[in-house]
Amino acid sequence: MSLLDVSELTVSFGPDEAVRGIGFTIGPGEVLGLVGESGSGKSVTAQAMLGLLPARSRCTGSVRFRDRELLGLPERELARLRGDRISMIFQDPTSALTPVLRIGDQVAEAVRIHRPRLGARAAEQRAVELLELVGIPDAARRANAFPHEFSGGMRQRVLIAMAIANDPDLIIADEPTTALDVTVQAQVLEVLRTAREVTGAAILLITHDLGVVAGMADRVAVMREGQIAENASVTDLFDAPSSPYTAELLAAVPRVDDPLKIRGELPQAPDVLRVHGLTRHYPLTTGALWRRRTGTVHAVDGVDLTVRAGETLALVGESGCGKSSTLTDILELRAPMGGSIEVLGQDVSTLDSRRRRALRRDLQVVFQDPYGSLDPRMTVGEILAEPLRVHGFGRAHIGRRVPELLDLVGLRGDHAQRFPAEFSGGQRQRVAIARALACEPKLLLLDEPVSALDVSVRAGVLNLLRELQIRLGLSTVFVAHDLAVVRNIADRVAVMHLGRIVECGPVAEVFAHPAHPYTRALLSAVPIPDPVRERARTRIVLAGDPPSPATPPTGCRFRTRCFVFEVLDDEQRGACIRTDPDRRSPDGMIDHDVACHHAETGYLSGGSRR
Amino acid sequence: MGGYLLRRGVVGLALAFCAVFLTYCLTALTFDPLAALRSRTPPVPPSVIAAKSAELHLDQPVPQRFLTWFLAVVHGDLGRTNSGTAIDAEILDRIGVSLRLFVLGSAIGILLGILVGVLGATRQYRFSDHVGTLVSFVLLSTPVFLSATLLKYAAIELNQAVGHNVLLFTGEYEPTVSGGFWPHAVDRLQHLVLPTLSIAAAQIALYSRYQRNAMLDVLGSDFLRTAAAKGLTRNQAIRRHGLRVAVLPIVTMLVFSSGLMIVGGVITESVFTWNGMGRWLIDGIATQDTTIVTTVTLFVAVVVLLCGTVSDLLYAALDPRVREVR
Repeated sequence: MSLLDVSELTVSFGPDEAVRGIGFTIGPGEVLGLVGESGSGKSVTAQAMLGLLPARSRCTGSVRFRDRELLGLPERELARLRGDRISMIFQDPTSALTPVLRIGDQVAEAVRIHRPRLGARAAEQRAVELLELVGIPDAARRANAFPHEFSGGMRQRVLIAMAIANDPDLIIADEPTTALDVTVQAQVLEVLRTAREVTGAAILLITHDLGVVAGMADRVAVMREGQIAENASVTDLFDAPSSPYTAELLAAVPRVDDPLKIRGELPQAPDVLRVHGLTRHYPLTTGALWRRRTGTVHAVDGVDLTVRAGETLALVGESGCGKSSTLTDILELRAPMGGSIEVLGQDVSTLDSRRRRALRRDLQVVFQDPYGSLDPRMTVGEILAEPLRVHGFGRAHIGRRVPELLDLVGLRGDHAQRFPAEFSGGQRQRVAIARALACEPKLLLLDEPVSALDVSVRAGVLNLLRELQIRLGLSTVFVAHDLAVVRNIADRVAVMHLGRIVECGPVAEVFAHPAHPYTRALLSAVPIPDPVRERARTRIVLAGDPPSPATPPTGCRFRTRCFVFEVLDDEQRGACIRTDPDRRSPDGMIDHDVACHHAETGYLSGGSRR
Repeated sequence: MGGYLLRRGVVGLALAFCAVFLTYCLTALTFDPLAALRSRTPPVPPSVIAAKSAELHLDQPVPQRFLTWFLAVVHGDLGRTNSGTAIDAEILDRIGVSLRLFVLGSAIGILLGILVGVLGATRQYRFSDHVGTLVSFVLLSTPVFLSATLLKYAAIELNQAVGHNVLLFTGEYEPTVSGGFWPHAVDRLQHLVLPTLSIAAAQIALYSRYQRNAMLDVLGSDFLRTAAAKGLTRNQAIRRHGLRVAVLPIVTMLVFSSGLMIVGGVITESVFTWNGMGRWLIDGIATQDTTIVTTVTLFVAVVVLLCGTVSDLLYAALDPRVREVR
């Protein structure tokens, strides 16, 4: 007998049908992955089952839980089931907790609402137990903290704690790790596995990430435009997808274990960008009238980079590691707070405003969010013409160049008359790329250019970028948090951690022989969309949160999370605690440098753990 | 915390000084307290006018007059009006009268405003929400002198309908009332209702609009959905999780509306002939009296600054995110 039986479920908002007659079942203890791109109706499905949709929505069909119809159940009855038999975890942990109530009280409430006779003290105690179970360190004390004092990963743990508070039969996890960094995602998935072992609950795992599904799910349902395109066991789905849409999705996912498409040796070329010892500190101040400095955020702390002509350098790291700050500093074309920046052979601190303006033409940028970076009141043609006009091109040239640019990024000439709102996310990003290329820059900075896009669209944009690199011989800096994305587009990769670059080298080298423990952890944290390999491999799961850039640890900044540091003896640890390692090339490595005291000692090859 | 309050206090004093200094100079330069004396028929002998001028220190330069007045204030003497009464003798009574209106009006205004706003948001676009919106806009766009006068007429109608005077609209109390505590209390209450209502109405309208918006934001928030997923019903979730967050923006409003309320108070006091600070200000301008106008300014400045501090402390008490070490 199935635990949950959904059939003919249709959800509409006014005339729009978000979900169109879908059906699936979940057995006791089973993990069903519900996969689909944004707008496919997967989250709406989950919320419809629990009656969490706004009142203007309409649901028809049937959702049976333990043979009891949930659709149309009075609110009081549904509320009794929610959080008790069926619980839910949401995508964005930063906004999912009430900001003004203590963590412990919010967890205790999840317990007490279903067991009113349990005393306040007992509920508090249970809350602390639950927080310990999901891996909140020092839970008894941290229970008194407020949500803003927790990191995103820790908040998601708290939400999991609330979800398992009453030993539910079914946990609905709606994109539980999408808002988190890969290393934190690995931790949270670990917690979710524990939660499942402890409660024995079935899980409905909603995600767009096929790698996550490969590692967790027993069966997978693929959703597209409100319908289920395919429903199969996880091995069947990945081995032999029966629906063309699934096959397309699988092919579009960039993988860290893909064979590399090497572009061949690059000829020795001059450097187009040289960054040395770049530093950007932000003061932390308090008080409104008497601002006092209470600390310093070390956002960027001594970054060295070089980009050669025609080369793509990927800058990779978790959120808050300083990669965007680095990019902004380069874009400023002004003397940085510390260190030096040299663009196309010119030291930016010596530029006057006329030369700075001339140099801007050669340095262009594409931002992460194509919904925010294009002026909604300008047509695409105007957007593309603007940079040309600013740099003094004539009307005739602009008239020729705009259709040329649209063609370059795979859009049609008549698209120039349309407004950004008429385009999809992927098309908008193409417009943003065309805009950046308008004045034929020599150096292109890409700030997470595909992070906001769906998988299938992402592949298209990445292909376009790769093609442009070759055709135009562009030099690019590609900032990303996703290692799989940069693998096939970059020539060299620089891994950034807490304001410093910890490893830098050719892509093939770094991916095949990561020399810094952090790089290894990052690579290991990316789930592989292949159920057999994903489940067989040993994972490195980093303990704890990244340290705050306001209070970086002494010595090596990675040592508080480092799995190598953990197995060192006191004498070897001394170096890590005392001195921040400089980047150097260990023996036998060419053009590949690492900032680790123990890069050669062999700990890295054997130092992994589950 | 202590340090924060101290800094706040120093800044507050500086601001109050600026307000008082500017008001004093402005009024001293423009007011002509002798005009009434000069225009009398039969004409007053010049020697009398000169004597009056000397008595009011009008023969001295303005900065010096200010300094004399200010030093006296620092020593606890608020000076005299043009007619010679000591400010000290009158001010406490007047502050009492004004604060009674101010505190009651804002308490009722805030509480009812929040209630109306929350109900409007939870019942968005229903009939009751439309009514609330309409009434708020009418109240917000009606000047106080009109609404207060209308209230007065409504009271007259009511009194006539009932047959005796239920609501009274002149002064704070009837000097003729005799008897013990209860008759006095009832009399005070009968006088209190209308002016309080006049002040509170605009406050309710204002707060309810802000509260409705704040609550709508909260109603769409992720944490309310989390609360529902835990097993709370919609109303439980709103009560336990939504309200606390939705009142936060209102707390910051307190300081802005305190200024507005005092302006409304000036007119309300005049319409209902209450002898509070507001009416004093009008009297002060009518008699071209620098001391009275400056004294009222000082009072307003202190009230607004205190409200600012109270609203900041309240915010910190309600929202742990701003409760960092200052």
